[in-house]
Amino acid sequence: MNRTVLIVEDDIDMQAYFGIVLAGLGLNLVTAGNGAEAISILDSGRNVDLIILDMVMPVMNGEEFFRILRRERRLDIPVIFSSVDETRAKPLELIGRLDGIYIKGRRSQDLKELIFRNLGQYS
Amino acid sequence: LKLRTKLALLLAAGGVVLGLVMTLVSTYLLTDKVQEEQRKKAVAVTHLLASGISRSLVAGDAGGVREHLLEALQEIDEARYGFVVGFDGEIIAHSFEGGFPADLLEANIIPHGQSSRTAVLSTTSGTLTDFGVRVIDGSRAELHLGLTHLEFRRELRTIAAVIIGFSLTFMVIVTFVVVSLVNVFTKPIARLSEAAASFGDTGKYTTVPVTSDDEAGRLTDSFNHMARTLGESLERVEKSEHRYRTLIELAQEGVVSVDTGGVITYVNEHLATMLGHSRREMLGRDLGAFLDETSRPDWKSLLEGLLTGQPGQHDIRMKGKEGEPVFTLVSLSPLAGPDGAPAGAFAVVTDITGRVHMEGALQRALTDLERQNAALLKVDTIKDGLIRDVTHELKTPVAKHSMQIELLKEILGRHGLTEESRGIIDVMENTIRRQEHVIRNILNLSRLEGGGRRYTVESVPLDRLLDQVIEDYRYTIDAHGVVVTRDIEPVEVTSDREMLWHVFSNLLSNAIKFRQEGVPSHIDISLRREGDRVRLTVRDNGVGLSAEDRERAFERFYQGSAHFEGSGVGLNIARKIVTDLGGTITLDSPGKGLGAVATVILPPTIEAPTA
Repeated sequence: MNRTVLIVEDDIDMQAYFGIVLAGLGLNLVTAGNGAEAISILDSGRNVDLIILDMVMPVMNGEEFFRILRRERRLDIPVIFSSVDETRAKPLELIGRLDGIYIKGRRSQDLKELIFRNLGQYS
Repeated sequence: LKLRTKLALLLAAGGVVLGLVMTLVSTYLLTDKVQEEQRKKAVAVTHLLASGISRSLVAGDAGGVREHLLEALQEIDEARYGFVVGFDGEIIAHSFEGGFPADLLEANIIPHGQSSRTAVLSTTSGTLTDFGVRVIDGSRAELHLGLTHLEFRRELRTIAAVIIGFSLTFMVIVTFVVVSLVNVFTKPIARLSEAAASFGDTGKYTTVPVTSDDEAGRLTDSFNHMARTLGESLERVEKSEHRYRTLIELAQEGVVSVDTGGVITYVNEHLATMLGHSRREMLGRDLGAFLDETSRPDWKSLLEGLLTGQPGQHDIRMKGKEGEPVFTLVSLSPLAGPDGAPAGAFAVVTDITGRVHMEGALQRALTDLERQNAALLKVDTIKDGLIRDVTHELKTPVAKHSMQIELLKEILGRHGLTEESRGIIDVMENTIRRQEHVIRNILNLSRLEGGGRRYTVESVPLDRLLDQVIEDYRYTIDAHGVVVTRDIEPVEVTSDREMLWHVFSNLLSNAIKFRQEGVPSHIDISLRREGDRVRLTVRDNGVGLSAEDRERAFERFYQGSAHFEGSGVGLNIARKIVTDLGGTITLDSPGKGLGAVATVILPPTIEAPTA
């Protein structure tokens, strides 16, 4: 069964980039435009194996989503933080475990490696 | 002592009087006795004589009468004269040499019916006792004998007078002697007594002159010494008291003492002035009356506690003349009386009104400061948010470009990348990298200067960090054919790893960037311990710097030459970081075209700075 990656990203260009880069890796890609949408998807009972989380988003930003995920729902799903600004990862690390930081604009290979590492059997 | 004098005089006088009385009494007793004996003897002799004479007289023998008379006179020692009167009253015989004195016949006539008579006669030759005896009863014939009148009284009076005189003389002498002796013994004592009294009254001692070396003299000497010592002690005590009094009077602190009831027994000028009263107004009044209403209950319990022996310092609010509060710090001590019982309290009062006002002002200033600080923090938070937003907005399009170029490269690669498109893509990539670098530098600078960046202090292995930086630049180094030599010791410091990465990265990229065209580029990197500090040098053989460039190299946005692209903020940020981390950074160069040496010296450890 294919693994499901939830991409929480408001920027359509970025969504497209993730789509292109991650296509053909045998992953189910689910996209949420902000934190609130991501929560809804999780609440719908859909199985999610990995979350790629943007920080700056309307309605509910990445930090708020991460808090609900880790503190309220107490979900242990691996989260890769994705942003142009790595310093924004700091507050998230105070909330709970962060499984990787991807700096947007760096090589797509970096992102792939992070995903492989977190999903284990993919290599 | 005067009493003794009187007693001596009285005794002497008593002796004299007693002697006198005894003399007189014995005189009288003796006189009577002697006279009686004489009379008896005279009567016996006269009667004996009379019988002899009576026979001769009756016989008419005048010569026999005369014979008997003279015989009798011979036997009686005291006899002075004798005569016999015949029956007709004529003189028969007498013992007078020069004729019978006629008046003698009338001097002692024996009355009719009596046989004898005694009469005391005063004559020119003294007092005589005439014994007349009737020779034959009933006739006129009489025998008279004149005897020396025994008179002891007069002699005894003389003796008495002598005794009295002697006694009086003795008395006078005794009195004189006694008085003299008393004077000798009592005068020094009297003088000492006088001096002591004067000393007691005036407190001034006049030395008593020592007039002898006997006990009195020694006593005087000792007394003088004692009085002098006492006087000196008194003087010292007085001086000391004066000193303390002055100290308290002139003290720049309020001083007050109260009795057990809280009534003021002493107050110095300073305290009176502090409260706007005169000392006279305060003396004798309850100290509570000079306290602010808020402090009165405290004062009452303080005083009570103090009387049972609890000294201490207390904030007490006193009251000025107009009722305005005077803030004071009162140091209270219990006062004990001579018997050790509580006698009241002693207090030193410091006016801390100024301090209290200052504290108030300080507190207000502090509150203001805290408010401003909070406002600043808010501004800071806003600024931090702003920087974050700007970072995001600046970086996002660059990141997108970068991502798109990567995708483009991949897509083009699938169709076989031509030399021409590779060139185009390289330019695009380089531009984007440079763009990233510029943005990064600008943001770092603004964060550091704006305080947005908090340093993270941890253990940093500098040698490994340097290796990493060199590896990060490996592509560029190889692309430009730069030869990098390292002389790196394993060194660990406590510092900020990320910030030091920026510094090293900046120095290395500068060394690469400012290489000379046509000259094989060499960069020597050295890392050494130097004492307890660490020295890093990055030496290149590049274009070098003029003295003027060296000065300005650390200025923000300074670029050595228009020929070199870059943001020009690198060294400025590097210096900011190194300074914050407690180190120094310098840039040296022998001159243009002669290469440059950047030197960073870091401390082994730093306290976490707040940028």
